[in-house]
Amino acid sequence: MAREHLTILDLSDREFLLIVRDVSDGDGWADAIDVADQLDLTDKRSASSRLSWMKRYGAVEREYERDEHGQLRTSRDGTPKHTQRWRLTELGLAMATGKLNKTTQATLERMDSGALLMTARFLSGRAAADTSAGKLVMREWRHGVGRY
Amino acid sequence: MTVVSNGHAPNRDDFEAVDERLAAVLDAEVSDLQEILDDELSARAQLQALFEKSKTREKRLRRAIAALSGESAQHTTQQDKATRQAGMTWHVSDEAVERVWAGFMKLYDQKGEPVTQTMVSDSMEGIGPDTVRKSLERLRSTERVRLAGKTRGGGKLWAPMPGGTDGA
Repeated sequence: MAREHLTILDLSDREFLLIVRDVSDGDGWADAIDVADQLDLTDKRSASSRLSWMKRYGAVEREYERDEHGQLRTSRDGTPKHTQRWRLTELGLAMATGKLNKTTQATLERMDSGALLMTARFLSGRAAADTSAGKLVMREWRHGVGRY
Repeated sequence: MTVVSNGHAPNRDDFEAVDERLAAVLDAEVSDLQEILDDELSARAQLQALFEKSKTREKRLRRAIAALSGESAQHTTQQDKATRQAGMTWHVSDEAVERVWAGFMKLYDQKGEPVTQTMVSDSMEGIGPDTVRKSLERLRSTERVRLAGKTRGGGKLWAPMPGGTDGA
């Protein structure tokens, strides 16, 4: 069966993270299957795959599997086991719900082309140096440029 | 004397551990390929945008040539008509976008959950489904609405973006 696409052009990371939040329980945990259902994906792996990427970028965390005493369950090699539930991290929540304040937005809107170029240069430098949010910044750029 | 033994039969945990490692390796492989595919699609979208811009420039140049040389601009006009019929070139006005935004928010507040384009369209008078569709895409591009899911039939579900009600 052909794999369904759930690319950055189909759905921005911000939209994806908000869907994770929409289907989450009271503690913020969302099941990958619920995310896939919300997007009407027949291939549930597409949602898991995107979640795995979001985890690498630091936007979500994956729940550890625990026994009845609350102890972490591990594989024989000592690696902790995970469930299929995911939750937004602080960075992920900032990406999903954050916004520019009005002063910053107004300043950016008033910029002429030259200032805009300098800002782009500054931002690309910041993104390249930022190991946590850098990749998400690049993906946000790719979504904006590719889609609109 | 060396004792040759097959050892113990692997228990269930061994299989689970191997399964999990294999699943992790496969998942990483698939994710890597998905990322490459994302790049490819992104590159193609940019080329497509360049292609569309080139077609627009071509059309303008043809019109200019027709006007300056006194030749019939019929060819160009026919092309424009065909393009219009295909619904490729029209843009929704700012006023229409604001009307759709108001209608969308009213409906969303009533329902308290994501709504479809058809629901928005049905709730508004004097505004066509195409205008609603294009307006929602415009509102999405300015991050006032977001794609919040899909229906079983594949229709898009829309919700306001956090902060979207502040205006853009």
